[in-house]
Amino acid sequence: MLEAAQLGLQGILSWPAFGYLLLGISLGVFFGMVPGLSGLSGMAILLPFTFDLQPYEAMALLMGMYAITSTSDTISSVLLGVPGTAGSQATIMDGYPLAKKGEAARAFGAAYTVSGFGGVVGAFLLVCSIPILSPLVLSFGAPEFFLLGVLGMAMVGALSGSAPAKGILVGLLALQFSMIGYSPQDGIPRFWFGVPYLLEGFPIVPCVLGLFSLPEVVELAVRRGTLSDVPEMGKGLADGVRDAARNWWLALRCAFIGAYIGFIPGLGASIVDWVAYGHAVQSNKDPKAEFGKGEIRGVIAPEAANNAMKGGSLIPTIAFGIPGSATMAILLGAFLIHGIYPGPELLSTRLDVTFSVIWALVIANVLTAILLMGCTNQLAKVTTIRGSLLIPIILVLVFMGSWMATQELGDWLVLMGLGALGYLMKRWGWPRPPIALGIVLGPIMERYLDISVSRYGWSWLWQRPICIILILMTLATLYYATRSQKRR
Amino acid sequence: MARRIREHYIESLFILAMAVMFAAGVVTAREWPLKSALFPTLIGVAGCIIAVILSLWTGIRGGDEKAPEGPGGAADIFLDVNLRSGEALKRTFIICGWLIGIFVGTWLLGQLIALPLFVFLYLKVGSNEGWVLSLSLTAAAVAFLYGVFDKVIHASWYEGELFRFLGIELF
Amino acid sequence: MKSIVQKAVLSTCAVFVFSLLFGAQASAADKPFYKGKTLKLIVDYSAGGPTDIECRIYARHLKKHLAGDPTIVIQNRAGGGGNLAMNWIYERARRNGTVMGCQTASGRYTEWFVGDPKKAGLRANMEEIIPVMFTPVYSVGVARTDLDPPLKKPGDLKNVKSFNVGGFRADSAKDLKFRTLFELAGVKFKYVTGYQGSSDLLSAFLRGELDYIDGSTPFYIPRVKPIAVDKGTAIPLWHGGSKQIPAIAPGVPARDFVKLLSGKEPSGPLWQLFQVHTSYRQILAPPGVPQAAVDAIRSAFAAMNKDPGFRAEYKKGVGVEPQMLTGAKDIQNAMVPWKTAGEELRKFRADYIEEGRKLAAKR
Repeated sequence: MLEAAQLGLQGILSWPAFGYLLLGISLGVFFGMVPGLSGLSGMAILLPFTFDLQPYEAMALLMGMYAITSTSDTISSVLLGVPGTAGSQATIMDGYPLAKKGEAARAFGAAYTVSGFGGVVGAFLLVCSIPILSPLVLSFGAPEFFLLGVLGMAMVGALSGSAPAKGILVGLLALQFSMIGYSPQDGIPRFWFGVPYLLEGFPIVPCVLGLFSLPEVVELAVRRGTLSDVPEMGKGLADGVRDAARNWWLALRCAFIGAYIGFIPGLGASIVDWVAYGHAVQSNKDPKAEFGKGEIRGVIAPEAANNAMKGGSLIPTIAFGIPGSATMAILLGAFLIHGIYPGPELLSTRLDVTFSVIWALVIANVLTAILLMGCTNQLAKVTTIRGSLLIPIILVLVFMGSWMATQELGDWLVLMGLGALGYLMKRWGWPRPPIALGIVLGPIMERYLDISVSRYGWSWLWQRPICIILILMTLATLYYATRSQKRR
Repeated sequence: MARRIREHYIESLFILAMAVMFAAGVVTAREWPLKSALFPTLIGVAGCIIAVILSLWTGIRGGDEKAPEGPGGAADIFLDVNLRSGEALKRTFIICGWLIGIFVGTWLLGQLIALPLFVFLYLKVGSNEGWVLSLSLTAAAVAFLYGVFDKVIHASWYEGELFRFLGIELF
Repeated sequence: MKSIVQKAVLSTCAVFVFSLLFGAQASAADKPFYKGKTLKLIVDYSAGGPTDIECRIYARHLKKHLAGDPTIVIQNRAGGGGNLAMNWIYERARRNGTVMGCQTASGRYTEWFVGDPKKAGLRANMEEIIPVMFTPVYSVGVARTDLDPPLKKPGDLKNVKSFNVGGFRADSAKDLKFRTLFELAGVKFKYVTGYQGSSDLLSAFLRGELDYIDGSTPFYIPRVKPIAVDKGTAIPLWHGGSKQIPAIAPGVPARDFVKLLSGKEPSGPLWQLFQVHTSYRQILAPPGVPQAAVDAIRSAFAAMNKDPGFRAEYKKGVGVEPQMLTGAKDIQNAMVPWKTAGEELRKFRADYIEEGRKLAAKR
């Protein structure tokens, strides 16, 4: 194994592979930063170019790009309140308020540090799990997936702030939205009103941009002035790094959460940040912490998790050829084009390729964190630009970001409809995060509950050890949620 | 605070509308086979009950006196800024007008024209910026849309009903 | 005199104009159709799926073989099980040859000829869509070997006690195919459906939640074979080809599979239903596209089919040798099962789907 690790490292560091890694990184910064573009669009564009490359070079290019979109997506989340990719939705909850307080540099310092850290932790977990990959992935069946969905929904409590009843109602509303489209077993089209656009359900990106970003645009337009009332002093970057170091334990826990969610196929990027954020809120013991108003821990948690997720998501792809997301499916395609079959081969005779992937992940994460820290002071100046100049830029990004979901005008109707809903919810103090959670988890819960019952009856509830652990975790989460409600 | 006191009736009606929506979902689901109907029915019933209670609660008790805390809860922008509420409402309608304008403009002309046009009009007419700034930001928008989304990503643009009607193929 | 001069000038002018026009036309006829143009291929599934990967391989090699060196662009329009892309091509795509579909649209044809297109949200009239190129996509059915009694060859399936079969949805082509096939062969099975995609099925299969899954060769050869079949934990049972395929042994063609287990030649509406669900990757053009464009694409694919570089890459990415149908007649032949299906089969299929829903609801 050590030999393979060394071979993989040499492969990545040799020229021109290293050049491709740098190219991948610079593309990744761009794809992460622009809302609506993500690692997925980057991978799809780069894939044909990798056909002519050697395996190491191809892995360097693709992984360099993929690994770090979740680092650079912080930029638009913090500065514009528009999540750069689906993985940094939760970052806007506290990152954007920090920017408004003139502490954008601090948010970046903390975010980049834990992003790099999370990415390395994710890669490390990937290495550690190589010997036990098979039983690890195979221990998760339909009942476990269902209960994971339930556990995720239990996070609604933590994400509802001081309005638990509204939080639950919003969560149910989102679940109802998620039922739009074909039902998973019968293929009955539900709530589609004869509109084919609705048959595939609500796309997540326009929903999130509408819920969280449009209300901020409206507010900026009403308030006028600049995004931040405090003139940006260009300091705070070091503070952010210190914040990250001080909260290393939280970052580590969230990195584990991220890697673990990443490795479960299908859960994916759109909820990993929310779960980490919910965990940060729930485990918080600091009475002064004000989540949602610029609490640095609200940035640290999702940012550590979404980079660690990348390492975790590679596990099922490499071990079984089971891609957990469309992005991983493209990576799998790249493997196949190079004649590398996932599964036993990548874990034995071609272990060096697996290690080249891991090394690319580590190097890209560290390099990007350093690189972006260098640009922070320039970037933070965005907060001092007048709103009247920012608004058209943000709107073009928001609208194009939504358009990329399915490239139909329906995407914009969803964006604007959810924008109106988000505006009212913000105005009346309703918690919005449960919506993102419900839309992603609803179909997963429905699908796997049915498969579980159809395949195993109900015995899985008490016969499968992981199920029991998940049920206990859900109960604990609910208990903590009610207890912290009472405290308020 | 006067606004909030009147506004909680609107909020209460809003929640009531949600209750109606949940109920409608339950009714619709009755036509489906059990497997497809199970989740929508459970969610609908639970949602309807909670929404009715919450609606009454909000209507009778009034809105929260202070802005809620915690994630998602944000201060009311009408309290946030020192503005007469009439002015704030006007500005809200104006920005909503721009949003609708983007949509209608795209439907008519397609994004490649509508979005840069919006950028220009917003800057020049909407916020009285100078010509140089307005035009250069518009040019940047064109470069971004054309260079990135058209040439690299190969996005599929909406063609614009006007051009379809006239039979002109622009892009 | 004057009039002669006038005439001379006029006729010179006329000749000049005429030659200009004619010359321009002549050069237009010489000029390849796609010279200086961009060809957009609309893929009906998201990036990274088997359809997408295959279309990206096409796009890469098509450039070499399509006269005029056009730019070729892939665009994914996933959704509605492929209906969104088909509707878009039919209703909104340019009809000048610059936009074509690169799709697995056989499901759309099935929906149109033997299904309920309106209910499925399919608005494109599939009889008007121009079929440009078809490549058959074979399914392969695989079963775990650790059944009771253990499975060593397809014929052993007769005695198996509990057999959990996984699918997508009662109305999906996949589910209809294995249900008809097992019913024809007389295999008893428990129908577990609702899985999200081939990867979801594969993971359920590997952990023993399912005893049987199937998928196309680009799924089977690079992904199922090395991880399960080569390790002895699974064997292929049947495939969609008409002849033996060494890479899928001991799996046999579907017809032989039915004969092997039931002793009878497959026939009747069930077999017809199985056959209308044959799958193809297709290049499709919206109605009204110039014949010159269709011909150009067809000859490019025909040339590609002979290009060893393309064949090697295709085999790596897809798992089998390409078998493109580029002749108008071959394509029409491939469409015969759909065109001859008739209303009776439409009703049979609808009832059969309904029956499947009930079957899946049984605990």
